[in-house]
Amino acid sequence: MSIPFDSPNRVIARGLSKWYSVSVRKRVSLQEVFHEKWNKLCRREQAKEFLDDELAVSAGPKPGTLWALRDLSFEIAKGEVLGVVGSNGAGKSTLVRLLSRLTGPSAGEALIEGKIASVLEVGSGFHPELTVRENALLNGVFLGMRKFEVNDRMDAILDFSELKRCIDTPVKKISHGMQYRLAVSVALHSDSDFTLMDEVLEVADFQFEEKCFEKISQAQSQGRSFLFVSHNLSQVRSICNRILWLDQGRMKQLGKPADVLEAYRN
Amino acid sequence: MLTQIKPDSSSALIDWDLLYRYRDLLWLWVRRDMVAKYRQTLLGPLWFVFQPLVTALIFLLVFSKGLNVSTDGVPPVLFYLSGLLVWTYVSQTLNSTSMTLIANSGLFKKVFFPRLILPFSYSLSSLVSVALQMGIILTIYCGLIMSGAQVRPGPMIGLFPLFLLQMIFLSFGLGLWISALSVRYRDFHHLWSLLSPLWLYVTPVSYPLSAIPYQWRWLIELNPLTTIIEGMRLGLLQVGTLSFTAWSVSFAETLLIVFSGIVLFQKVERNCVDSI
Repeated sequence: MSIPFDSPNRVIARGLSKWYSVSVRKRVSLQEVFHEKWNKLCRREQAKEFLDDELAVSAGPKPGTLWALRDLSFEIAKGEVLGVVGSNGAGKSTLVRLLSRLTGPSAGEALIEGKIASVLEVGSGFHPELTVRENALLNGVFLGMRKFEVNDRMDAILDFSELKRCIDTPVKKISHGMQYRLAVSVALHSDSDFTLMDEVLEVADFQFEEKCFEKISQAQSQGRSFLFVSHNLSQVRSICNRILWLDQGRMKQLGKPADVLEAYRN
Repeated sequence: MLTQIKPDSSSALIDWDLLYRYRDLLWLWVRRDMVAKYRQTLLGPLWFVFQPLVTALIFLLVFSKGLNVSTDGVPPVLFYLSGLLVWTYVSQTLNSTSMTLIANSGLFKKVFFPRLILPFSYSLSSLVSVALQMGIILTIYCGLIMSGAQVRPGPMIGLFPLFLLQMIFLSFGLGLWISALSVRYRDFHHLWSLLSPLWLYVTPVSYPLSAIPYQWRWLIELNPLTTIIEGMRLGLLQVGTLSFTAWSVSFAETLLIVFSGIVLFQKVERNCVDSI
């Protein structure tokens, strides 16, 4: 599978699946492993691994596994913003983690054209002792930029996040809201072609949200694509081109925001 | 640039391209590590000077004065410090590297970057203490020469950088091993804290290799740190026992440990976020 050079697609996912092992007894020490082996040797009865009735619905391909994401196929076009909605445990975060390369899929594959940046949680990768400027630099480099590239954009980043006054303040001394604005600003000013945000934008206050939307539509016109996971449906409706509704790891619906959201609400 | 996301695409090989693109992260992380270590300490990196100095004094009292262990005829303090130069670095690096995957699990769950950069940056940031210790050794050295001691560096000093490199890569590789193993079973981290003092005793830090009976030397020489320390002492102090065979073996061991460590680490790293 490959993306042709002139393809309108930024992301192609085919049969993307992930299952997790949920064996109730987690083996964490060698002692327990030996104990288990010994029990087996003596043919003692094993403690049966149980699965909740509720969980059994999504029981995975092997005993003791659960589907987190099941056979997901979709495309994201260049310049498109895809919103992902679904209840807790629907697989939204798993999808983001797979596409961010934080963990591998159990089956299926995905192709992404261009640089990938993801913000999964505000302030991850920030070091409390480093200053605002140093953390912005570190965060930019985490997103795949070179140091000089981040430094070139530093003014724009600090302007956007309205943190000009405290560039030399350690991050531990600024508020959570400010740290949040810094993280989002760095991601929006990165040179990535595909940006993933997991429940990040919905914490923004009204003014900052406006600014972000403006920046995102500007980036869209340059062919940059986005994937947002959000519980804020009105926000999703206003910036997303299409919406993917996940339910118990499967795709329930994929289409225009108005259609999907109406079905989702009911 | 095309990214392919597939099951088990974790390859044993290093993705040089990706590492190269993230090269700035290496230096930023070295810096971050040092800031984290020394901010809110009064003496900062000087702490790493006291540790080997105090250990050298204890060795002086116990081994040299107490047990009368030879130091190959060179001033004991210099002899111990040159061995401790290697030992302090190795144990320090292993302590920080071995916790890479566990201590940074929060980061690994949220941020993507080539993971190998982290353990390698720990190996580099521990070099600060090597530099400081070299400073002490040189100061004492100069003091001793001026007071008329018969001790001079030898021609083997030319190979000093090579031994230094071997030391860096050996601890990097071992750190990867412990780090990868302790993701699955935390026991390995405890096992390491048990084995590390034992390892010190089979390494010629407090005694010279020449003090070991000839028929048992090969056992100590199997320890790759032995030739590194003896080689460095040959250069710095012109004392030491180093055969080409022993050094080849230790060099091969180092390569093996580094490559197998990288393979194992890459294998574990990819899906470790699911289990930590």
